[in-house]
Amino acid sequence: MTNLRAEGVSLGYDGLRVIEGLDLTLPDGKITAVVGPNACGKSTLLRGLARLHPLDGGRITLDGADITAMPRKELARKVGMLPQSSIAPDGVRVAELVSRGRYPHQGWFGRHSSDDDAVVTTALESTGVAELADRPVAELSGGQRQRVWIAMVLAQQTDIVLLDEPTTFLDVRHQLDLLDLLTELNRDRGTTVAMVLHELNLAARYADHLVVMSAGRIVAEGAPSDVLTSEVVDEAFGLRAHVVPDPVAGSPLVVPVGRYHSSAVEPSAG
Amino acid sequence: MVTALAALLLVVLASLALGVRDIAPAEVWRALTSPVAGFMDHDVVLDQRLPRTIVGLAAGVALGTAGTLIQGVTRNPIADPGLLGLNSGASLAVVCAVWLFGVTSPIGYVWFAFLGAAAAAAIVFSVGRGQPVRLALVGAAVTALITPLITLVLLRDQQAFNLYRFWSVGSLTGRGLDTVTALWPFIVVGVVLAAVLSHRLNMLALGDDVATALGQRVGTTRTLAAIAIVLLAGTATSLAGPIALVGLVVPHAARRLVGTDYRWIMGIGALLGPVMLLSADVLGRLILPRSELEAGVVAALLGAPVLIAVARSRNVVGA
Repeated sequence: MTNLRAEGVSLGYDGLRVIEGLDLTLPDGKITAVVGPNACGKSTLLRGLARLHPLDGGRITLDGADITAMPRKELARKVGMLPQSSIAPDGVRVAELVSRGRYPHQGWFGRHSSDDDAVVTTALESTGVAELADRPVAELSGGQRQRVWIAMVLAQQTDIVLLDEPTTFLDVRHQLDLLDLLTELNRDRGTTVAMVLHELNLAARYADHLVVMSAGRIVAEGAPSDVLTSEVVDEAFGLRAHVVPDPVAGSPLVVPVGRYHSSAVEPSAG
Repeated sequence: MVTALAALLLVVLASLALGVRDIAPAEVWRALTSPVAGFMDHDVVLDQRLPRTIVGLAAGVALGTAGTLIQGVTRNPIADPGLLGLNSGASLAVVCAVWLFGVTSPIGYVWFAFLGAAAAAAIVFSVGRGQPVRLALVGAAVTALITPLITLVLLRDQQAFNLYRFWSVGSLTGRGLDTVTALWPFIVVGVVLAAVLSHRLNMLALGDDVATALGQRVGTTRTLAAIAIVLLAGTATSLAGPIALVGLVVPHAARRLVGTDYRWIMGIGALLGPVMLLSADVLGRLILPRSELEAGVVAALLGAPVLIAVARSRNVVGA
């Protein structure tokens, strides 16, 4: 089991502070979802946790050890990250792309061992893309392609997997499909999952631990049913909303109130 | 791999056997194994065809490898060493060497070409900071800045103009083997670096973030690649002049043959470079009766249609 923690972390771009003195611990073996309005720093935070973005202050530790003191390949064997900016090279096939997830376990010329092949096969199977192994990635649908990227991160065999908006560009069915897949990985392998999500209600349903961010700080964190209240939604998003129980999962369901089409009662202050 | 090796062997043989002067294959073989001093056929093979074949092999390997590296490291399928201002830097250094120091022998200006290429690349890489689009912009700016400077020198110095006219076309002739003897270690170091970097390019192709998340130090990869590119392309330009399109076309052909794994693309690219350059040189000897076209001209004539065909085909295999 591994424990990823941010301690007093500050992050920014070209002198512009996005996050100042933030503390966060990813609960071990749980699914954490980070939500918040655009430009609140949630992606930057995730990138900082994966050491894709340099820290302006504070430190990030893995089991107590500062991750910046760690060789990058060693970190990549413990923390996997799927960024938004991934590129599938033209013509690359599914199995080849997934096998590149083995990089942190290989030497400089990337010699494949039978161990690598077994891990890649398992990753393809557990993401349900085994039958697509020989297909060019470019020919796949958006949902399939995202599964392939997840398979690549799985091939990395890390205890922690970070995902930056993995459901963006997917239709609602494929969003659920992907979150179900991540839930299975979490339950079957005990993988700690942390992801940035846009869709509040899916975040509330799928996360064990919900982190709500606004303007570079954490507004609230904890179990979704404790955290996601209409006050918190208002504070983070500046949005009036009803919060009712999700009829399917029982998790909080945010029903936003816009300026039009409000025929029902006003949301209560409490 | 076998096909590429066979093709290379074939063009090497053709380069030794074919030319303006008709020499029977058996006589070519005797020239290589038991030469008779003073016999014209043997002298042509040993003093002209053999050196230009070796220059073509060296420059071709360097161009093919450098082109593959630069397309991989910038993820830009139309990148070539010229993009980094290497050719213009080398050209300016050569004309200045002739103008200021009266250097006229290939072994003399080879070093100027190399330093000019390295200086231009150093400027482009330091300002471009490894970001693909910025590299291309700075490279274009440096080239645009240097080109009129070259013209200025050429207008002032007749000797520089005459030499440059010959050098800038890109040719394998008139370079003694001493240039290869002086520069081959650069090619070896460049090729070894390229081999070491080839698997890193596979990760870099997935984007800087993915490569970093997989544990690669992307900055180190780019710096090492820049060093290898300068060593290889600088050497090739020094040996054969600024030859266009070989470094651009070869990686596309290699990807067509072996797919998306840079460990294979790099190896095939290193073989296809000399195949293309020597084919261009041999064709140049045969196209015109009793005279020759420079390899650089033929390479451009061969390469341009290939590139257009690649662009027109529906599934372009990008970098």
